Amino acid sequence: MKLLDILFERSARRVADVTSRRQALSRLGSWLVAGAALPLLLPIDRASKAHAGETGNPGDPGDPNSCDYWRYCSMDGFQCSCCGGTATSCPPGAEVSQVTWIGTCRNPADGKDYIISYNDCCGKHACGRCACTRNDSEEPMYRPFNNNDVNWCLGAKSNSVYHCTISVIRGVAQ
Amino acid sequence: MRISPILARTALALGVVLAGTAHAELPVEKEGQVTLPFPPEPHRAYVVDVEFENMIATRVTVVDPDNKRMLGMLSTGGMAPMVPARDQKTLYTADTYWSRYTRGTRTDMLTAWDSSTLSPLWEVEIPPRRANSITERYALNTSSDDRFVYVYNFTPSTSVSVVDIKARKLASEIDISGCILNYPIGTRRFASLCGNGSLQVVTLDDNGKEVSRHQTPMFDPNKVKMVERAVAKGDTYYFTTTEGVIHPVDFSGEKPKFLPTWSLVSEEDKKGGWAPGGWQMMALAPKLDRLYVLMHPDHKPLNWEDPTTIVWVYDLKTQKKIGTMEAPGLMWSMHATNDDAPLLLASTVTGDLEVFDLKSGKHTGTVEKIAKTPTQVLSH
Repeated sequence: MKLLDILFERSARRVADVTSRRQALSRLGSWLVAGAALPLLLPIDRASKAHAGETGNPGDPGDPNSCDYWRYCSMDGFQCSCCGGTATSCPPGAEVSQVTWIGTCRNPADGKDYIISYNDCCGKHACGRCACTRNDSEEPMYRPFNNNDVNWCLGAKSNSVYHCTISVIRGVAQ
Repeated sequence: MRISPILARTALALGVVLAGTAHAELPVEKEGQVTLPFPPEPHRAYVVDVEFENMIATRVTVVDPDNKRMLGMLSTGGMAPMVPARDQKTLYTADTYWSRYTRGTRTDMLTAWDSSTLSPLWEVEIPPRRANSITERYALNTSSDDRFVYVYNFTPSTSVSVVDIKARKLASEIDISGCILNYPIGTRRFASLCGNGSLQVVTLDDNGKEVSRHQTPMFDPNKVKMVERAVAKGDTYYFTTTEGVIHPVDFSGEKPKFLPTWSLVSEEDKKGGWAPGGWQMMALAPKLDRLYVLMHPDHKPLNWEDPTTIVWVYDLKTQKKIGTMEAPGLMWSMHATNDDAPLLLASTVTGDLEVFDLKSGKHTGTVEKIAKTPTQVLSH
């Protein structure tokens, strides 16, 4: 049996075992599992959420509350859009870290590769909602600015604790 | 609720009669506290848990994997890495604390714990720069004589705090700009992996101050991704690329000696898309001279940190694959114990610990729900 089949079977069974997908994810609860299981949960996810929040901008398609959203391609953490913020803004009272890691994600609307900064929002402890890990453009830790396994709140003024992560377009990759 | 006096008396009498016939009266008891034996059992395991949904109050859970039992825990601060001292008596964690718990002034401490009481013994304040990441095996280490502890710092400039264990004070902070982590070598050296594809080696004196350093090119970082989470046997370290090419490095001499590279995957394996992946994706059983690697079929580059249910087994002498093991859980980080009858311990992304007996190659069971977000497994 191929790994993806195993994962899918496990994910599907887990979803069936519990009353909601949110509960299933909270039980999994790690960067990694979110990364491994989320893409496989998406058919179920889409079915359950029907018309859940699209951006409303055809040039920036997708649901900012879904790990599947194109600009989350190197996200590793909790999506701030699920924590009182948005895809690009920290939740109230959480400080944006100015030092960050970056990834490159392809926008399906125009086929262009965009440079995305994944700024951590800091000063409150882990939001715990919408964990998302995708390592599409991640590099090992010796390239720290392309690595998402680090708490980048070290770049916040308060040099403080991690709350959630936003994804900000910084330009088109050349 | 009112109970009639007759009913109450009847029930009481019946209870006394039943108790009297079945058991002797229990003696008065005294409260106690468990202490773990010394020396520690060779399979005693430490599961480092970063508690992703908290990350402030974190823990190390101590486990008896043979009996699938929890033995105790250490309460650590802020995703602390942990390492057992070579003397087996002391455990070290590098903790971060905030004066107002979730905010305020940051204080970083190296904490020494007693391996039997699991209580703090002493602590040393260290620079408040300890790397805050998913814990790395080579972020916190001891020199082979237990004289110094090395703590990896990331701000994002990188350095290593050297703590003098004899004097119980900070000996130095060594700048390792452009490089990461501390792979301990012998009594007075540590290596770091550099962004330019080199290995840097820093030599210390007996006061923990830098004496010299050198860098030796190892790989082309524009061509391959070298996973920093290596494994070691003595002073020989085994790194893997994300494609599964093993780079053994012998650090016992003055300069690192690069031993011949070899591949985890055959041409046929590559056709099936087999490649390594996970967090601590490799483990080494020194007494068996075997390497264990978490492997994925249908692997893509973005899967390099994904978990798997499959372990491939290699003989380090012949560099041949000699077996496959599977577990029900999605394994992410592994460790093999250092004794003659070793176990392979693999933490899963759902917080379980999979246990394999390495002599028989059998999965002996799962310690369920032993952690929330386990990132490392260690033993003495």
